[in-house]
Parts: sequence; structure tokens; C-alpha cells
Amino acid sequence: MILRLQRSVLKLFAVCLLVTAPLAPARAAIVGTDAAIAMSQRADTVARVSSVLMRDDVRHRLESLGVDPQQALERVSALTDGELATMEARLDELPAGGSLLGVIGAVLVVLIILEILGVTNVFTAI
Amino acid sequence: MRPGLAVLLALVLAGCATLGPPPPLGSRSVELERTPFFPQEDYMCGPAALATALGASGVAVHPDQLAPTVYLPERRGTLQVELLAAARRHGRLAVRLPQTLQAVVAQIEAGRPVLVLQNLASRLVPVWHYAVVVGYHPENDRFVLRSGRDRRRLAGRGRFRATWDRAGNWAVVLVDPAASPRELPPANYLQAAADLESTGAHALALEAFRGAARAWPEQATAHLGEANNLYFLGRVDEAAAAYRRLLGRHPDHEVAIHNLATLLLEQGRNCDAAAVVAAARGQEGPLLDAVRRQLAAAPCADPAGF
Repeated sequence: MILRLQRSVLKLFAVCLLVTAPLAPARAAIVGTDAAIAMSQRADTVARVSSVLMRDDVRHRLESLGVDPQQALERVSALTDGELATMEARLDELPAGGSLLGVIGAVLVVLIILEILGVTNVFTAI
Repeated sequence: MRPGLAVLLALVLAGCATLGPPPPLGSRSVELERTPFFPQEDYMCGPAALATALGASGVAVHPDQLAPTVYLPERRGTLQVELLAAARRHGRLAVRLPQTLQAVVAQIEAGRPVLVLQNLASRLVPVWHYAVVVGYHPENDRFVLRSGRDRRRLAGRGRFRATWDRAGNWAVVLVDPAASPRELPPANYLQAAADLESTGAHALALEAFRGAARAWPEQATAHLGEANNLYFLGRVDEAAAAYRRLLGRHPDHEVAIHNLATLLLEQGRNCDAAAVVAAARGQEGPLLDAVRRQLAAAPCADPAGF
């Protein structure tokens, strides 16, 4: 019984550590170079507290776009706070560089034909 | 009426605002022929272009290795921010260039291929595509790109500019932090180094900031970055010395005062911290206010310190 209690206390303690660890600054309060640049540019200093929540949100969205969960975790942790904020706010609108190939190819062919037709029409009209 | 219309249409079609051909962007023909090439597979222009640019910066990696770190299956493509992040994960600085073709050509001339995003179709129906610019030939005003399945895709300036404009003039070079930052715009380079720092690559960021401090000694941020990353690496005494050197050049650098005082307070050297802040007497600012509050809570105990 006591053992069980100890265990659950330990578990609670571990959870507390996990929850608070990412929130505590890695080192004390020295101002990083990125923040210093942002200050000198008078850019609004985004509330960095929210970055933990943002990271979680973006990670889930990467997973929903077909990224392996372990990869999603690593990919998100490679982003700066600014990039993270961009991803969170505009993930669906951001350009995703793909290629000419595949489905889009058909659209492009139509566009090219239109372009050629437009040009030839204009020149014959003059 | 008709000739006027024809001229107008010709101008609109040519996509230029002035009469006559624009002057060439560079003075000499440059093509970085040793830049690697990876023929692109379906939708994989992101990994292919990234592998090309990384290879040129000295990181040998295959697109297949990069795909899991940058490709978004459901979007059938790669986001710009993830390309930058992946470049950093391979120890390279991802330096955004100013949004001009001159800036692109300047990098080619400096020997650095340029990673670009293009919109090959239209704003309404975009077709996003990554390519790497490896050459520019002023005599026929053409760019040379590693693009898709083409090792040497030639693109006239007008066409290339149109596709690049539609994609927001995004251009990036990948730089080895140990290499000289010559010919790079200082502010952009320093931001890239700060990005490395904020993703935890302190040893690389230190190298980059040191290179920047050598190339542009007048840039206070380069010295600050050097000091900060020494601190993050736990080399606090070297960090303190670097902050003091920066303060020697820029006595009222608020972040340096704050960080040095904080470092000294952490070491329990309250009197030294007080001395640093006392030197900024009369100066105001949020960081100074913060560090003065910290000092008030950790008074200088040793009278001999003064």
C-alpha cells in the first residue's frame, strides 16, 4: 500500500517535472542574440511563453499531413520561434514547393496553351 | 492609335517598364559547374534542391535522406521554413538574401549557388518549385539552374524574374559557419547565426559569430553573439571577457550590460555585477531596469569590492 502510494507520488513528481521542464528557460535570464536583434529592430517581441504550446500544435498538424510522429517531433524542434509562429499561423497557405509533375501538370499544360493562344491572338490582331 | 497600342502591348508582354534592354546584372560570365545535381523525383524538388545546395556548401547528402525531414506528403511539397530548418540541422547557416536579382548574382559571383522558390504558373493557380541558381551569363542575360530533371536549365532574365517575383523573391544561400562570410549582407548573416543559436547549435553559432566579428568588427551583434554562445556553452569566463570587450567598444550596449551583470550575479560576484551596472549610470531601458531589480535583491556584500 505504502509502496503503491510512493509510486504514485513519484509518478506525479515525474509528470510535474516533464510539464515544467520545457517552460523553464534553458539557462538563466541572459538575453539571446535573436531576441537582441528583434529588440534592436523594434519588432514586437512575441510572447515566447507560448512557444511550447505552438510547438505541440504544429507537431500535430505535421502528423496530420502525413509526417511520421518521431520525425514531426524532430522537425518541430529544429524551428526557431519565429518560424514556428509562421507555421502555426499560416501552415495551410504556405507555399509547398513540389514540382511540375503529376496532377498539377495538367493545369500547367492548359495555362501554357492559354498563354500561347493569347500571345498569337494579340499579335495577329495588330 | 494602332502603333501606340502595339507599343503598349509589346511593353506589357515583355513585362518591363522601360524601353530598351536592361543593363546586365553582372560584368562577367559565371557558372558554378561543380555544383552537384540530383535529378528530381515526383514532387521532390525540395529535397533535391536542398541536397544540391548542401552539397555545394560541403555537406554530402542524398535527397532520399532529406525527404523524411522536409517533405509533407499531404501537401506534396516542402515548406520554405522546413528547408531552412533542415539546412541548420546539417550544420549550415541558412542566409536569406535581399530580394533583388543583383543579390542573387553577387552570390553566384562569390561562388555560392542560390536556392530559390519559383511559382511557375500564376498567382491564381500556383505551381511552387524549388531550384538552385548556379550561373549567370551577362552576354545573353540568362540564368543557369539545377532544376527538376535538368542539370542545366537556362532561363532568360525576364522569365526567371517573373517566376521568382510570383514566389515572393525568396532566395537563400547555405553557408559553412567556419567559412568566411565575405560578400554576404551582414544583417542577414547575423540573423542566420542567431537562428542557429536559438535552435541550440551553440558551437556552430559561436563559430559563425566569430567569423562575422572578424569580417565586420563594427557589428556589435557579432560580438554579442560570440559572448552569448560562449556563455551557452558554459565557457562563462571567456563569455565575460567577450562582453567586456564589446562594452569597451560600445559602453552603452544594453543587452551586453544586462547579460554580463546576470552572468556575474550567477557566479555570486555581486560586487562586480554592481560595478558593471554602475558604469551605465543615467542610462534607462527595460533590461537595465530588470538587472537593477536583480541587483537590489543581491546586494554587494563585500565592501572591499568598491
